[in-house]
Amino acid sequence: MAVVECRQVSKWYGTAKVLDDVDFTANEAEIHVILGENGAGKSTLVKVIAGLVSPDRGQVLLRGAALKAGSVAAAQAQGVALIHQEPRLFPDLSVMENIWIDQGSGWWSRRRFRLSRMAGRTRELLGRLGSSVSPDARVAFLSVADQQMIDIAAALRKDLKVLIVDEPTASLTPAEVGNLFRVMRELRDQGVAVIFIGHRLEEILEISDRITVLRDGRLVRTLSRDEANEDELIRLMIGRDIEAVAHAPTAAVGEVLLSVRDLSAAGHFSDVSLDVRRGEIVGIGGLVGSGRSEVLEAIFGVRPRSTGVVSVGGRSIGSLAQAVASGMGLVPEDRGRYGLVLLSSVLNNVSAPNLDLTSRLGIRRPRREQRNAQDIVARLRIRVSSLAQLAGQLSGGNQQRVSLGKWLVRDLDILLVDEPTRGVDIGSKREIHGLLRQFADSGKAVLLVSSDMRELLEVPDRILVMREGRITGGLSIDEADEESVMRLAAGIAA
Amino acid sequence: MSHTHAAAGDLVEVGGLPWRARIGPYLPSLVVLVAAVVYGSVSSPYFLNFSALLVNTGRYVEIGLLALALTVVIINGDIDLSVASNLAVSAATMGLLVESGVGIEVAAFAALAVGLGLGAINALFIVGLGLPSLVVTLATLALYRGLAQILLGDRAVTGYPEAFIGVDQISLLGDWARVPLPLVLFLVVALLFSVLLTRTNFGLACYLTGSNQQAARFSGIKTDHTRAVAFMLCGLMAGAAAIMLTSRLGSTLSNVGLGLELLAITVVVLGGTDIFGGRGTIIGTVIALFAVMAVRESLVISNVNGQVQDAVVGVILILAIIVPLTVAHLRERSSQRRLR
Amino acid sequence: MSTGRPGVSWGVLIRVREAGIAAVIVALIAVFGLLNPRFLNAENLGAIVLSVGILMILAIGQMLVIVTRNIDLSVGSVLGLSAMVMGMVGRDLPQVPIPLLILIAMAVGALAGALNGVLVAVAQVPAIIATLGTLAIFRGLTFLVSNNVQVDPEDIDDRVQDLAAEGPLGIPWLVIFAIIVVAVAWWFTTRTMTGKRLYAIGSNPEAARMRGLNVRGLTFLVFVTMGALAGLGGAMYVARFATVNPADAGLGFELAVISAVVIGGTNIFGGSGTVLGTVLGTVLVGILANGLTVVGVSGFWQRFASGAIILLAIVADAFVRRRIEARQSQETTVRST
Repeated sequence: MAVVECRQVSKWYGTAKVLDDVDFTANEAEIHVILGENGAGKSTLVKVIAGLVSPDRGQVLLRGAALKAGSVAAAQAQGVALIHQEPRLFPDLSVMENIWIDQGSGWWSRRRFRLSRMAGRTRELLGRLGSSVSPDARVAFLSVADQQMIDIAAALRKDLKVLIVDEPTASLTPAEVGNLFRVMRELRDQGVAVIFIGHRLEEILEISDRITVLRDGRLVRTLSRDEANEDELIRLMIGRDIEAVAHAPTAAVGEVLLSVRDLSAAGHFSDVSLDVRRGEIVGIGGLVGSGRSEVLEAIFGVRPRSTGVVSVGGRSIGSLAQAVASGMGLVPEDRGRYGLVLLSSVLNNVSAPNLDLTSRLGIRRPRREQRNAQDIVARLRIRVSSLAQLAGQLSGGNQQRVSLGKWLVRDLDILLVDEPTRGVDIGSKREIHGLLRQFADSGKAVLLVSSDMRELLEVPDRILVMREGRITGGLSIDEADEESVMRLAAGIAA
Repeated sequence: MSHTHAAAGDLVEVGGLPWRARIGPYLPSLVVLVAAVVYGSVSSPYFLNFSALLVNTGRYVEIGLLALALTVVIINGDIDLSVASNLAVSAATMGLLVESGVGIEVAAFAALAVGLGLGAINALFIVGLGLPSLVVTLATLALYRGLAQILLGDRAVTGYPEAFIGVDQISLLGDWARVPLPLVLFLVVALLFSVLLTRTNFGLACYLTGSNQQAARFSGIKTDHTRAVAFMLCGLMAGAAAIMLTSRLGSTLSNVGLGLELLAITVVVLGGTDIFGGRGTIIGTVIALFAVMAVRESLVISNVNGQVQDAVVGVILILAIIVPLTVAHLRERSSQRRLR
Repeated sequence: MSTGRPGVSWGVLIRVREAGIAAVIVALIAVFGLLNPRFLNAENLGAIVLSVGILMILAIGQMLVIVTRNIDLSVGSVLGLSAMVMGMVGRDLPQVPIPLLILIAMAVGALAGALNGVLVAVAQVPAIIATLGTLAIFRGLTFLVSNNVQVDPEDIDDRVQDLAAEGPLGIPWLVIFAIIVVAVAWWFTTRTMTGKRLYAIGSNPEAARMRGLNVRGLTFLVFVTMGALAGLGGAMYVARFATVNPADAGLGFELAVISAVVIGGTNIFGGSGTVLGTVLGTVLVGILANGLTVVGVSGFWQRFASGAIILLAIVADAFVRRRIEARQSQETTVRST
């Protein structure tokens, strides 16, 4: 039976139509995956269902009754819950308070905290999800996976009919993903309609009962799992075929360019030593939270180090300024927070790290800056309406290209890249991989952190694996496969 | 949204933008300016008396100097509530030095140095220790004012040399258009600030830092350095304003400039600078200063009392924020309706 | 997966911090008492209690506002406006009973707070700007309402003045009101869902919206509450000082109030803060102001001292917070597998 029914739902943001006459149905007791490239309208569609966004046209029926458009409270009353990639919790409140905060719908709810009873119910809820977090713990101090479970527990507390899970797995470890999927299946078996948005095709094929593919705001097709396979899904998502790029390592590896010795940052990682040679892409694998991003940040000088030496071509690097001067650039994982200033123009973003090249005595030279930015836009095929366009208005793939491209203005020697294709559409992904390879082939060095197993196995020349803040092993590209990387990452003996 | 670029330190030519987008950020203060001038000239024939109007500008120059530096601090995403107290300490230092027989030039230089130093102390707490600027400068607002009181007690320092007093009475162009010297100085300083924000690396660093400090840092911008310099600049301007004010009044009390920080912040925000950082222009601040001046002077002519003048400026401040928001909201709605 | 350990217990840390302020208060009392025994005599302690009482009523309201990630700079002007209206009503209509006078002051304050609330919650003007504007507006209104005439002691009913001197069990009504405000606020923030929601809003406004909490309604409520409390403060001001001058009733009060809240450990960016901390912060501010005068430190040092104490409080907080975070991140690394 259909629990959620979207009828001809359309939505504009400004002049852009993000949903175009979408008729979408999710049944009870099924896991329904929504698939699509970035900007296909997946998140907007589920936000419409959850009452966070009111559609400009069309309506949503929940169990046959029309949902009051744009009312979170109405959707919640109907048993709809939306879980985000980044859990929307209250870091200053305790686990228990986070779960019960919306109990009682009126805003003058005088219902008292019955502490002991609530703590018991909280433990019970978390227990169902396989989580053993203390109800009194402050959420600010918990891991992302724990926080997601609290988010789900808050939804479970109520009479849950529709659970929407929006791209949750990117920041989870495989064990945590496994646990999440177990929970989703259990809920499905209890009759809940589970709507799941994901990017990783293997995962999607594993978990789904039905799959709906969106492209450019339109619903392309809904198919059952039996009808689906990876190639078919990719074709539906992008509207054409792409061939996988086979790994083609280069032979010309030169002298050591970046050398890291016994680097530690208290509380994050310790005793990390590694070398990257000219012409080489070195991958760092490992679980989220194993300290990989922190290593890149410490090398680049934006994170304080407790011990250790970083040197480029034999010269020791102590600060961020020295790192940039020595030809290092960092493309961080979180574009919106660290990679780009979203409310500033593409030009300003590209200019920021290169002011030393374009200015004289601290005075900016507009023409130089524009020339550089135009170069990069052309070279990386960034789609912008003008250089004055705000970075935040670009699509994910184009944002990532700007975040990478701003460093390519310089005659850079070393690129540190952290999850360069996370949340990026498949076309851009290939191009970014190509750019990294091209960069290395011109005699430069790349250090790549990735959680995407396929990327980790295809792009680098060799792989280091980290676990709990230490490098647990290195693999040549020939001996590396999914299993060998996972063994090192999880600390399982071969 | 296109008007945001003009206010975000962009070098891209805005020639392609429609005129509405180009003056968008300044529209509220321009409207206020025109309205106040019209009101003033209707209610009194003396309002548009050019020389009288210009002489009065001298009084607003001190607020203007503080507002210029505050524009930079606010674009950085910070705030400095202590500027007026800093001004008082600078003025007190100058007064005590003059009293003890030091030459006025040296004393004035000392005022600038003290202003800069107190700005540096703010920077030390905010940037060095990573504390929120709102609270730190709230504390130094009291601390510096207290320091001025400790220095001067409740007496007034007088005895400034004749030549130093009355800078606002000096006019540049003779009698036919008495352009007061402070106004000229202010416009020159404003021009320098404008160049600083739009044409220098420091300016871009300010906009990026205020918009997203972490991303700016990850792009190699020295955000700590940028913020610290802005606070010191603010202190320096407090010192400069202290000199102007002392010259105009000819005496110094420990409560000098009390409450000016609120007026200066009002000017900055009215001028279209985003209180949360990342956006703002010097031109906006200058227009807003003249708008506030026109409003207050036209009320003075109508014999409205000082507190009520402040209240009118308060109303304008709030309207200047609400009206553009509402207009943008309505326009978005109607444009979406047209699409359907 | 995670262990059941909550890591450093936040509740314990907050208590430790509050104990710290209490220790400073005790130390101050000891020092002032040793330097001048007159500090500890009943008359002086009574004066401290009265000034702390008024400050406390406003500080509790301000804490609630700051917890929701807002700020109210207009409290001093609201106090002045409601004190003026109450004083004038009392002067011009002597038959109005005292409780009604107090209610009038609170209603004026609540109305002023409602304007702030509409500006912030409905019109979405940042609180710091909205209340910067209304700070001037309410002060101007006080002038217009009073026609720039002050309300003199002879115009104020003796029974109004008695509110600051007498009451049940010899405790002045002013103090009783302050205690009631504190008790209700304590119950509200620790025992009701709505109270917890204020913290939720300040902790993560976006999440609050997504969880269906009535962010606008609660924000409005909190500003109205602040206004009503400032109105009550205004009434107590009339009782205590028996004079209302349009220019300086409540002038600069916002700084003292915000200082007390910040010293009390409330995070200026919202999400955390306790009633007990605010009470202690207020007491500290009150004792410091009084004590410095009594031991003969020139009045000129008082501002300096209050600025210094805020700086000290936030610097100490920052060091503690940094140490917790360092320890916490260490534990996280160890735990994640």
